[in-house]
Amino acid sequence: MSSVARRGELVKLSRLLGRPPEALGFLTALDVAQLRAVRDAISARLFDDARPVLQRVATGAKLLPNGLTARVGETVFGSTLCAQIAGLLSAPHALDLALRMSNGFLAEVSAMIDPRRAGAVISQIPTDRVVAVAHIMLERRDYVTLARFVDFLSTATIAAVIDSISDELELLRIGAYVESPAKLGELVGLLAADRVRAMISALRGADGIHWMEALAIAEQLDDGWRRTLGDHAAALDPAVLCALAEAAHRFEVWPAALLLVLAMSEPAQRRFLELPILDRPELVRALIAAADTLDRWPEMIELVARVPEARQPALVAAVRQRAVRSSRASEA
Amino acid sequence: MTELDTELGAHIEALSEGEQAALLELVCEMRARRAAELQAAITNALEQVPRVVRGALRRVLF
Repeated sequence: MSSVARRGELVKLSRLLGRPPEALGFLTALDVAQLRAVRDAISARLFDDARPVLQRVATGAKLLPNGLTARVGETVFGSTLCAQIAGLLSAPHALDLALRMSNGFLAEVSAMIDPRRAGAVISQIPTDRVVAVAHIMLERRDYVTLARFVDFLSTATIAAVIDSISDELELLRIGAYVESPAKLGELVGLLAADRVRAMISALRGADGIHWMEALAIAEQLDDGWRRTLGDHAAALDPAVLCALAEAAHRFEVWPAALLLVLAMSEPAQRRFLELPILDRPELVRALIAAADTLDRWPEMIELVARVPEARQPALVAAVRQRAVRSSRASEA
Repeated sequence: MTELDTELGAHIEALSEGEQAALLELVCEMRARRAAELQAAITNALEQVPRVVRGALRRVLF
């Protein structure tokens, strides 16, 4: 799992604990799955602690007109408590209250709510309100929350949000934090081919974080989508593939980049293999190490067979040497 | 805290004892903060609602 997924988990856990993500730096020994399990356990504990009182508040809310309840919720209870109470109200009641609250407040509640406890409400919010709230989250650069909601919104609503976001790199940043690989594939499928190409082109001049996020997405997707994205990248200016290789090396995420390359069509792979940058010994070493990490040697050998030895002698020699060592080891 | 300790147990084994204690301390602080916020919000909310429903609401809340 990528460092991007890890950062997303740390952001969610830090919100739950009311601390900045940097305050959780001591959790470096936990992987993404462990961080998620810790967050789930703490979230359940905090909710269960307050449940009896929250339940009484939810019951009390029925005694008041919804307009007053919404106002008191927004001005007195605040986003964290409203996020907890939402899951204890009937879906129609919670929806009516949500629609009476400001978009800014809904964006705050969204950052604190566990969507799994309020999925029935989230899915009923009209598309125009979802789009408006999504743009407030974008202004706040709250990509983590935007990504959390994709599992609970209809495809049509997600498509409307995507259409309303003109900056492809913003879409990329949201996609990087989507937890479900299947949903991520569905989202990529909602993008027109020209937007995918625009997104990849924009990466050429982008800073490192965007490349890390792009490669985190590639890592999550299946080979079919990797092939589509990889082929789009290869069809653009060779400088794009060069920037991909440089970013993979600089941020030490060659395994994710190699997954993308291995999934490409043959012509796209050839374009990648012709990159002059691949004659750098340190890149060759990193590629070999990535193939080891992924344990995808048969495909790696097949890939390198597509490049004339004269073009990339260092890479071809390194792969041959590694393949011989591997076959000797298996014979022994 | 013992319950939470048990619930988190397997997931935080990779942390040192000090790190586990630091995490549990953060959770403990947040539990206390949430409880205080909730009580304060209920008290303030009662001030915001019309007098006519305040009694009924108080009976539900406390």
